[in-house]
Amino acid sequence: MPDLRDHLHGAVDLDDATLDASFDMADVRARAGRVTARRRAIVAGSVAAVLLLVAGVVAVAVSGRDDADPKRRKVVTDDGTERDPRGHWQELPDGPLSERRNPVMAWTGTELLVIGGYDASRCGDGADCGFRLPRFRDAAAYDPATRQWREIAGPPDGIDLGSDVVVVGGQVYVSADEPQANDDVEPVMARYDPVADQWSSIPYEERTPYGPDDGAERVPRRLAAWGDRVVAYVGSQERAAAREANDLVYDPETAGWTDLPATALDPQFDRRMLEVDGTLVVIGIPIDGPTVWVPARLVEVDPTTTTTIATPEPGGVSGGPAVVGADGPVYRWERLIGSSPTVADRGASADGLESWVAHGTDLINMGPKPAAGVLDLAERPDGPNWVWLPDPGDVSADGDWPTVAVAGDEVAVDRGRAMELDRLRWFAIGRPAGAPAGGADLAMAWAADRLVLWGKDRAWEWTPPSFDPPRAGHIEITATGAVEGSVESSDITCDRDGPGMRKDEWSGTIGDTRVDLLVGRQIEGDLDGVTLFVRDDEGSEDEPRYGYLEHHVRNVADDGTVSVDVELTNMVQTAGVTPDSVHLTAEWRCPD
Amino acid sequence: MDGEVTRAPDPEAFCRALHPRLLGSLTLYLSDWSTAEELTQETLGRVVARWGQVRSMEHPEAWTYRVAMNLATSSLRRRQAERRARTRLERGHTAITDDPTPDALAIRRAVAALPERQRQAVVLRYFCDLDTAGTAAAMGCSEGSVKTHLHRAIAALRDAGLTDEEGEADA
Repeated sequence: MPDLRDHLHGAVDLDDATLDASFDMADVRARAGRVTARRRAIVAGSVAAVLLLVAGVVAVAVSGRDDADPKRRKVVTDDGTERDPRGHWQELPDGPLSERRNPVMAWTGTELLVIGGYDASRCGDGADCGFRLPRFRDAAAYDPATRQWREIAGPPDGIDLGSDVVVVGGQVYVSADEPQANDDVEPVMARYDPVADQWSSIPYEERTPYGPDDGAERVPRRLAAWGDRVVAYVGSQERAAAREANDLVYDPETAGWTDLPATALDPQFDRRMLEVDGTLVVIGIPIDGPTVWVPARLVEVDPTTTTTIATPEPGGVSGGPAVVGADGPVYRWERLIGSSPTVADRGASADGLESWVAHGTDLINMGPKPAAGVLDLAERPDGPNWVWLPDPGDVSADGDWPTVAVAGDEVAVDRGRAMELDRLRWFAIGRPAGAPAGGADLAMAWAADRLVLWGKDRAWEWTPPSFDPPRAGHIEITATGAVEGSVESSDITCDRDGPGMRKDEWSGTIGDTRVDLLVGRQIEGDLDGVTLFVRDDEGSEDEPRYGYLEHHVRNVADDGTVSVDVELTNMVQTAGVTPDSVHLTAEWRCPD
Repeated sequence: MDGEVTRAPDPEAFCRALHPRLLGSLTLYLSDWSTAEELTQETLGRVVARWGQVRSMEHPEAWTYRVAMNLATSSLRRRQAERRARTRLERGHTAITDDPTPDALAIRRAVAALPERQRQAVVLRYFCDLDTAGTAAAMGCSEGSVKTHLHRAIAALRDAGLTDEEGEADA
């Protein structure tokens, strides 16, 4: 029997012609250039922390009234009419900062900070430059109450800011690096004190420093707020050194680091930690296994003692708990039931990175398309498991947006689509007129009840529309196209019932199959829309159940009429029928 | 150290000399010629980017294999490499393709069935011809760990009929 060497070499028997054709020194040198540029720029990840936008739809200008409450301040549209600012973009006054890309943005509770960023003037609009971008080190704060900007201290020369930013106890913490004399960098956590207007750096206390210069990409630490503490965690455990690195907790009160309990989960990449209803949750994709997100949460075992409990409880992940603080409570990780309803469950390929937000006790996965779900941590011990979110459908992203969601109290925005968090409904937010066409030139953050968009040297704010129940009205539904069936109309009662308002039933047949639809009208601010539901097989005759089908939002016409023309092509997913194509036209108007 | 590439005076000579075994090892490790080709180029790019350090290393080829294995075991980077490899193929940059024989395919499958660290150890030790110390350096672990991985890997390959070796006999 040939020895193992012979077997292996025989399995990869590459002839000289193949090898010559494969070896491309020019390509090697080009890659070397990119590696060098990437090492020096330390820009990695910053794009992921901001939201990006493209072309504008709603032309809005701020009126001259200096009113800090956006709900009272009127905006003037292109045609000169005044309108409620909710649901619209308004440009902020000019600030002191020059044109820049990817500044760090953070809301302190009273001001929105815009810090640093990069000089991308040598790049094309929105281009992902492959060379090192010069850093800006100035910063400014915007007070929405006075609509005024002021200059603040920027990060000093010795601190290069990264992308993750959290605000804890009024202090702003940013992932950062300190350039070293040997062209290497030392990861640190930067802190900005808004009251003292001062920057400082806080070195990590790593049990196992990672990032040896072995040619592999460095794994930067990411930050998460956890109550009055800051968690600095490893973003990926792909490399052995990162697997051994401890996730850290910084307590501002003691100015010290402690170890976060090891998760004892299989090593993960694309790790995210975020606080959900006071609980720290870690989500990641196992390196060896299917591409599904595995969440676990940190549960308090004993609030009074620091004694380590060696035996994990049933339902917990393997491995025992660890002590977070020297005099603090004992925690252990508990794996949550269910994995993300994404690629594995839907059998579809994802179109980009996933993004996560927390709302109440919900951990919400907002993407990527076509999958999204919500995991209610309050459902333990009977759950929780993932619940589907409606597909954004044709809710327009209005251009190229970033893939990381930002969540306010009522609304989260992801890839240009907004979601009303209480009812988990998608809607469009449009984009401000004059926003740069290139998505890379934009950044976004919530400032209390408004979303602020930074684009080069301009900024806009957007406030959520009113989610109050709509007024009563009348709806008429007309089915056209390859449908035979009755057309019914009735008065709208406008009661809330589940996700959206279920209003009117439409019955039709497609072939031999009866199809029952519910059509719900939604009013969001001054936007009118319609949601369609199709009856599924799980309900009874007395209590039918309807599955979400389509969601369209359209502006109401001058006469108060809203029309939609919906092509129902995905009914097979919920109704078990396979129509060729069904067009449903709905018109309705509400009384003034 | 076995399997050592003659110390090259310039990065191109070093890359050219190491390229065949690097490409072959990644092909074995990944069971995917296109991705292996992409990661080989990427690995060599990093060699050139750090040539000032690499040329002074005691075992530059072991370091290079370590970079390659780091890239290959990174799920994210592997997916990126797969996308780039597809793009290269679609654009016609790569005219050649890997066309293994049935026997070669069977061997690759047997290797692919090994756990990650065992696969690394086998490829580095028996295909790249690194000695135990070099394999340990490339894997970032101790020589004892290498021997353990090899022992288990060879047992699995023996069960698959690929070898009658007893273990790390020739280390």
